[in-house]
Amino acid sequence: MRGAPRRLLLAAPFALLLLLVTSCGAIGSPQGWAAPVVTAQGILSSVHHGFLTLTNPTTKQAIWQFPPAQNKNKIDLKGIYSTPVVTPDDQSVIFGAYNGHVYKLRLADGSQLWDVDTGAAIVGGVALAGDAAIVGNSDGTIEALAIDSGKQIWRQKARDRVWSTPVVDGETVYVASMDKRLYAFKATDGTQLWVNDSSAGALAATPTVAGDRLYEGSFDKHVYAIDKANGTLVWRSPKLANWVWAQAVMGDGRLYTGTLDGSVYALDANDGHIVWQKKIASSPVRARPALAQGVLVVADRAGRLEGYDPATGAPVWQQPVELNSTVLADLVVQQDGSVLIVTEGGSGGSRIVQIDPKTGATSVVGTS
Amino acid sequence: MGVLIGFVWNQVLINPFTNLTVALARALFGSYGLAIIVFTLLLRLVTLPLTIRQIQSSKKMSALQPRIQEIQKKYSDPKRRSEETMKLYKEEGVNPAGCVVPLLIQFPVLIALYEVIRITLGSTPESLIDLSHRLYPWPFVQHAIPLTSHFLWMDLGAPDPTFLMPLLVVASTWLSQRLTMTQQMQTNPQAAQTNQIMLLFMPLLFGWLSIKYPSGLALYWVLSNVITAVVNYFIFDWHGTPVTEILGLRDFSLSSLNPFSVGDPKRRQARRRPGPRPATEPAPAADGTTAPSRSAGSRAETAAAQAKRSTRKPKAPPVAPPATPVRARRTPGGSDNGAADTRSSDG
Repeated sequence: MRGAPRRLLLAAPFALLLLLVTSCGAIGSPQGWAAPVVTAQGILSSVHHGFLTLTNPTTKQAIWQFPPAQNKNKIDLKGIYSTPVVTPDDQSVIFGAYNGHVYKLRLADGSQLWDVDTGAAIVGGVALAGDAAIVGNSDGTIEALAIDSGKQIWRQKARDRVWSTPVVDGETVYVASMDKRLYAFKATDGTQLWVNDSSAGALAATPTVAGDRLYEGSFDKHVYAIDKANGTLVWRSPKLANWVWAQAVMGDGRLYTGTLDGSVYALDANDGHIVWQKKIASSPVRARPALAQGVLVVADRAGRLEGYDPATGAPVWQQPVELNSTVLADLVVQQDGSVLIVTEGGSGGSRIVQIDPKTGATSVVGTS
Repeated sequence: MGVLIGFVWNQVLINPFTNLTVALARALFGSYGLAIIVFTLLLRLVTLPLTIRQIQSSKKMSALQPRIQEIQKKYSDPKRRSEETMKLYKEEGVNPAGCVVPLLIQFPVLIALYEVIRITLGSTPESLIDLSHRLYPWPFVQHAIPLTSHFLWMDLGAPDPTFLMPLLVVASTWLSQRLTMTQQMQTNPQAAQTNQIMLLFMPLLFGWLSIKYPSGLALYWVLSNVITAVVNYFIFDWHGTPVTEILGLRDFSLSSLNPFSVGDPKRRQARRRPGPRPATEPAPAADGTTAPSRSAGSRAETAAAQAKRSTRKPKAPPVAPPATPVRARRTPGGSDNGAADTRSSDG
């Protein structure tokens, strides 16, 4: 074979390879794991990847979606990890996106009121403190923005990514950073009150405030109890099986959390010793567990749900529930005691699932 | 079977490489960029015997091309051609697959490294979760997370926004390919066309990949190409040779960049500068180095290259025969006919 056909044959593999590798560019792109938020007008969620949706739980249909379908401004959120927060007047919602922007939308119709570019991807949620919305980003920047205008009120800097949600308690905001430090700032003006660097590993979990203490899970496989007044270490738990990324929930003097090897732990809140330990499977537990109607509901990444007796760790359901979808978003307890879970992809599909903690029975309240 | 392959892939390549790069980053002031550089150097050092073998095999194959072409011309029967060719390989101690086997070993290493960089830099939260399953339970490694992805002007976990690294990838890939292919192109016109296509598409392909993928990969690739070029330099012993000759650019023209206008090999041969066809392959020099083989009619060697390669007594330049003294012939009348009467040189 000579001439042009031979040359084309020689060039063809390169063209095919180029097509293949460029189509594989989506591998490793951000997915998002914002938890659902129940509002008077519907359920806010990121069940549609890269969009914030308000869903009618009765009809299970979307009321609005942001960015809107026409998307004249070509907004690309890239993924939403940040759980949206409804403003005190129940009229609007604020959230951060992986594209680095913080958005405020009108809750009724999803129209944009303002957006602020923080300069780096946002993974943690937004915390409200008075008239300010406080958020951290992947650059280590912690910003307080005025709720009504988005104007910056104050700004602080951690040494590495802030992937946790700031926690506001009174006039203090606590922020955990991947620089292995836990910070306390004055919520009104950002003055640093103290820093705790007890952890040897990165801090990605959102701190839990209970009483006069903060509880924080670390990538060094320990959970720490910190005095929230002065930042001193109260106790450090025994070494757990893997990194702790799930926010701990507190109930009856015990802390409940999961690790990235699929284990679930109950720790004594007083001194940190392990009360009980179970293993769901081998898939990571990243979602915050839910304590509802006397049952501890835990989900792993593969979509396997278990209900445990919080006191003993004994399974409550006859068998685990398999959602056959990825679950990374925090579990949310509704007012009626049921638990909401957002799933993504898999054979089960992307949807909002409601589960009865007593029986493990599930129903779908929103779909993609 | 797939599960077994996946298990071996992860346990033998991905996880060890992941932990090594993380440990290097922690040891090197938390810099993942320095970790990639050191890892590349270590990897190339370990695979250096394979690399040298690959280049030497390629070199031997190029040297045999004229003789292979003679066999092709001599025998019309494909089976006989194949037999004679294999006989020649055996006589010369060349394994035709010798240049392929090292590549087959290095290729999975390259893919593994891509996966390692993608996992380790954990630029998305999901990838960081995956990383937690791969790290060995050594505190030194566990406490290294998160890694610093910034190096020089780049975020190693993201494509280079300045496009400087893609340009370096294109240039270094072209250089590395050109150094390897120049010898083949000079001795095997048929391979020249294939090589021309590769010389154009491979740099562009990798340049395009480096635009799409994390700049940490591009850093590895550039460094790897530079190391290949250095190894080529020493194996082919190009010290003192002009750069244009090393890169085969003496007859360079813009049209040569178009792989689809390479033209008829016979016409290309006719365009080459006429020169003496060596009767045999150049004898190896006393120090064991061998000059890169040249095809018939190729450009003449420079004086510097000749002096370097040959340790034989240099040929004396041709000396013109002494001029025959001119004697005026006197005619019997005593008059000079005024014309020089030169004798022929042979008489």
